[in-house]
Amino acid sequence: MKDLASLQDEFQRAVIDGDDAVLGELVDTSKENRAVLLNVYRHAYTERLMEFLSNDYEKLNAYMGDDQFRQMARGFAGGHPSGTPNARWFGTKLPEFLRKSEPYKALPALGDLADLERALNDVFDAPDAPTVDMADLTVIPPEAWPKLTFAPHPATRRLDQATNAADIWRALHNEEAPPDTKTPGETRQLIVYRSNGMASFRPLPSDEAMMWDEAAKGVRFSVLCEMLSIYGGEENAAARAAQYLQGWIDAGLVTRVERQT
Amino acid sequence: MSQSAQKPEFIGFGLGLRPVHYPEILNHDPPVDWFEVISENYMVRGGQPLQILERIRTRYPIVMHGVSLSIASTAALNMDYLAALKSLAERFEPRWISDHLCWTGVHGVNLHDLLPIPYTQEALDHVTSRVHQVQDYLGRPLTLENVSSYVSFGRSEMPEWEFIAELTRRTGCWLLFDVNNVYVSAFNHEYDPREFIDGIPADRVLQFHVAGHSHMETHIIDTHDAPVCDDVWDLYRYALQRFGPVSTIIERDDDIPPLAELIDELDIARGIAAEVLSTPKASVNA
Repeated sequence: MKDLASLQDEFQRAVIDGDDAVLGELVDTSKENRAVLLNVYRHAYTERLMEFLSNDYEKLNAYMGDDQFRQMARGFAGGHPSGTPNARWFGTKLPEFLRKSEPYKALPALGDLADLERALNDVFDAPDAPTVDMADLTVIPPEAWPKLTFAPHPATRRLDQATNAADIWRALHNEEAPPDTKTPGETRQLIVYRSNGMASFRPLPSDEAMMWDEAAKGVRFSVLCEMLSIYGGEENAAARAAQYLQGWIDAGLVTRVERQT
Repeated sequence: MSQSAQKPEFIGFGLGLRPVHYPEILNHDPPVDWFEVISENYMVRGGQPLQILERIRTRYPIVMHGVSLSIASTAALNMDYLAALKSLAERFEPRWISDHLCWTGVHGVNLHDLLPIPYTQEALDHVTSRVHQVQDYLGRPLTLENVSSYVSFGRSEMPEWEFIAELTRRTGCWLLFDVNNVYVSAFNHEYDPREFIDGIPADRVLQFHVAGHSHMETHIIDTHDAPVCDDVWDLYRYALQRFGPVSTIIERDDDIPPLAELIDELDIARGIAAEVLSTPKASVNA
């Protein structure tokens, strides 16, 4: 008789791969055949994974429609059995799957939409951390400002997208008819963040996106202002830098200000 | 870890904590004695779920109930998972920690289901060893729940209740007795659910689950998406007669109704318990 480990291996293959070998271990009841009873587990397995993906990628599901989404989700689940104790992480590789797999890779907006939903999920339960407020900044002497650096809050993500996925997301969120997928020819820069506990996002002007990306690398404020001047024109560069910074502070996007030595 | 650990006190009639009910719980302090939380839902790095749980646990006792311990798996224990569980318990101080007497996968895969085991000496020895390891790591007794099952194994050497009774004798673990699961498994495997209840050591039962299910005529599926049916309430009554006062929750996992409906259902449990426990027989068992 095979041992418990072999039996579990056989049972798992029955559920995931449809292998019927384990039926030899099971018994019929007077009311039902063992194969029908085993199918309860097979059906539950598939449905549960579909449900995880549908919960995490609600807008993608709505955009693709239930039938298309389920077909896609089956393809993903078939190649990506869950290896995590927490269902929350099962679908993290879905955006990559959409970018690499036929027929989805021909519609890059699907991958972008999934990326956006994943980023929203990620910031929702990202680590807690303090936020810097304006009062923290007002006590910093003017001579220290050129050497200030700004650390992004862990509940922030930056996305660059070539498609109109953000417009699709917004339309679905507002229960409006979503637009067709488009690749407008210019990159759309988004910041995804947590506000009052809820995940949110907004588009960034390209010079603000550049400033954020550089600030996140630890570039000091004087250099950020210079880069903004080169990137977006000298006019009002310092004022724009201050305006962008204030927006970040107001939205709780910065967790720490440090004075570079 | 031995049976000498003191039995946690009776904490009354509670509900499974579900995010859809957060606002009502925080704003209205509903008349629920305690909440059972799904451990994995709070194994996240930060954000609103953890903050809300911090607030709720200052107002209500909580119990942590997991779905991925996989105590009966032949795969190695997932120590990262156990570390997360222990850390969560240190932060939120649950009255007890429960999971299921089942396995969820092998070879690094999680099927996210509560899979059945054969009731053999080999499985009993294996699970006993694992429960000891987990209890030693957590520094407290585990509480294990009987699961609903749809298939049974020809190789089983004893009934499920005998397996459970021996496991708790060997390890000192407590039992989360799911009345609905007994009803479901008894129908599916064609035995009398009262025989199951009679075979369980009364002093080890720490908690009851009552829930709804889906009847498929030839078998019943444990869907937890419907109100508790009369047959399960009858079995709950029988379990109370045997086990005495046991902390109870209504466990609803799908098609979750407004909180008020669940509180009404909880009142049925309270009413049955009040009626049963007022009799001399029940007080002897308590």
